[in-house]
Amino acid sequence: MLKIFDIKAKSFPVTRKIILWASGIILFLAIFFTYVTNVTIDAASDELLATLKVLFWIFICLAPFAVAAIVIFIILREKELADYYKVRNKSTLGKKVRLFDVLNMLWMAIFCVMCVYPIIYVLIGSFNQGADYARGGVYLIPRLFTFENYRVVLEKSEMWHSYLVTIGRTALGTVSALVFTSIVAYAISRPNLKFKGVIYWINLLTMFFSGGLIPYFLVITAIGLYDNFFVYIIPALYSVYNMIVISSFFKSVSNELHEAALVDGASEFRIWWQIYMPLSKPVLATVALWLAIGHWNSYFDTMIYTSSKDLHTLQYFLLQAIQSSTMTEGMTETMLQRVSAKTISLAAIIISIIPVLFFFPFVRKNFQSGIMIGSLKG
Amino acid sequence: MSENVTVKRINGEILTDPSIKLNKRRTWTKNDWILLLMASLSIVFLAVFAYAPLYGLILAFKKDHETKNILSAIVYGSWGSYGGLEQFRTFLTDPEFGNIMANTLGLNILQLMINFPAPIVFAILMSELISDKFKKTVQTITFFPHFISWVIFGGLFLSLLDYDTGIVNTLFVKVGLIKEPVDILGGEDYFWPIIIITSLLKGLGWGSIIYVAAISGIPSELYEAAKIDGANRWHKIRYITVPSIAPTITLFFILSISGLLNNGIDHIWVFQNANNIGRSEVLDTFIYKYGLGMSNYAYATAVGLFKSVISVILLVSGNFVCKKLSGRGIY
Repeated sequence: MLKIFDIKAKSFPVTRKIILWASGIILFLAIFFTYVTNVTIDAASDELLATLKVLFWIFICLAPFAVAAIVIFIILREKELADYYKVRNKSTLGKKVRLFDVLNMLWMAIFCVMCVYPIIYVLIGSFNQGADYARGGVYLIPRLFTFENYRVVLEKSEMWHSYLVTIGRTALGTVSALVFTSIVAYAISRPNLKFKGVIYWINLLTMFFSGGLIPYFLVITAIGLYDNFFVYIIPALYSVYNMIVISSFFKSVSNELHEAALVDGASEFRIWWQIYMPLSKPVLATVALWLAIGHWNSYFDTMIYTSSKDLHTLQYFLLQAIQSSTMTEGMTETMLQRVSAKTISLAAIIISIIPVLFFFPFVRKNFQSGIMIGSLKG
Repeated sequence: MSENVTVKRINGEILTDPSIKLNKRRTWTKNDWILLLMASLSIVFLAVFAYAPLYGLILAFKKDHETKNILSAIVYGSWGSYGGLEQFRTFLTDPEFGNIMANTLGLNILQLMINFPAPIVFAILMSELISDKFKKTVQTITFFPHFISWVIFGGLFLSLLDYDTGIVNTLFVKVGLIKEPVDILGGEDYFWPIIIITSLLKGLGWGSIIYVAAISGIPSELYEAAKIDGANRWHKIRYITVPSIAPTITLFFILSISGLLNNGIDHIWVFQNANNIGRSEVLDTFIYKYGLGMSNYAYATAVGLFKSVISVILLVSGNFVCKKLSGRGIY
């Protein structure tokens, strides 16, 4: 048991991150359920209350473990950092703190609060009763607590369907675009490609000239992609910018590997797949993240290129929930007292943010290193 | 393959020795074909999704009534009769033309003046932070808004700025800055500030990464030498940091000039409503509404062409000015 904590934390960064993140969530939920079991909940059934009690005890029992994990990891981290500063000889303690530094930190902190508070505000609103929220003044904790908003959203089958569409397009779109783009990037990174100059310029020119929305739309329609699921995938297969980023990384792979593989009789295609792709994981991860975020967040293509409800993406569903009051259609008076179009849309926003919140801490570092790769050639 | 060509590598580029004659009639190996096939995937893709739409631009010179629905737009785009510059004339004499151009340029120039330098200042301030841990936390938190979509971000702000329940109104009334709540979302006066502030909040952390990376690449010996020479913090920023990241700044400046007519349509669309249409209608939303909403394909194509021609002119002239002033350009 002790061995798990004795390992050099550095060699298991992902495991450590997952444990840390999970403990954080457990702690948060423990606090949340403690709070929930102690307030009056609007429109709560006996079953719901019983479930909450059970959940409360589960998380209260888990909380000590979470605290222990966090404390252990903090101690480990401090040790590592101490070594790090010894090596770098860069202790922050010895420096003189001036007024400028204090003001600088203060304004940074204020900006961070401005970035985070809107989300907290929405979280609070989503747990508040509809009619009560409309009176205003709900800023720090829900005034009249309720789960009704979430119940209404989660019961919408369109919501789940659009969630599936978004997950599908993100997974399929990211993988296919990554493979397609890196095939081309590999070919263009090779100095022995025939007609290299012509091919390169054909690619580059498209970065400066575009046909604009309408001709593009007509092309999409003419090749039969209109109102087809693949309108999310195929037009996003390739982008010249991503190709340049990947290919500049391919160029930095040592040429000796390529020559050795050629001597062994491997084809160019095999060299790309078996040597260059595994070697280029950092840049591929970065571009994959760009692609995935783009797919997850886009809603305009749904608006332009599709008409049937089956193809609505999560973001488009949200847009409708925010801009019109379709969510409260066909509700009774008492129901409308409990939830409002506003609070329901807040709950929908929170549900759609959750996956991003989960992935964010894991991808943050990748994003930064990727930008540096991209900026090298800039 | 290259028995009679000496090859040496300089900076990763392969150069052939000019003193030795190249064997022109080299045979194509199987691998050459494979490589060409791999590269030509991009040609096929771009032919369909980039060059075919370019050809579609001739739609801008067609007569509108012949291209009223999708099918006839595709057919008449190639075969229909030409209407000359009729579409452009209609747009330039449109009573809304002045308003749309004012909105498009006004919003973008404001963005260029505020949202372009802000990440630079932010990055410099961030590099001056004394605690590494605090710096990392700030970076993580300010990245986050970039990861959520404009729909969600817009939704957050629509509830923050709400007339009755929004915290902004309540806070300002409580502090005493305003007497009674202001209908921020209902009128058109506040549309531009909303756009500027939201894109600042969403893009500041993200936009600063590139400059943070550039600043972290500056050798620390420069700062140490400056310190010995008695430079204070301001001197260091003014004479070391800013000149060192100037190439990056120039590059992004030129790129953002060419985007002067490009408003992020998914950003504007979330905040646009019937009340603020006078200040929020820009070229992109206009093209979308006329082209896809009302099926005026020829007209919307003409407006789009007008937009891209001006963008290219801006790119070229921006590059020219930067080259004259600083000796740097992107091509």
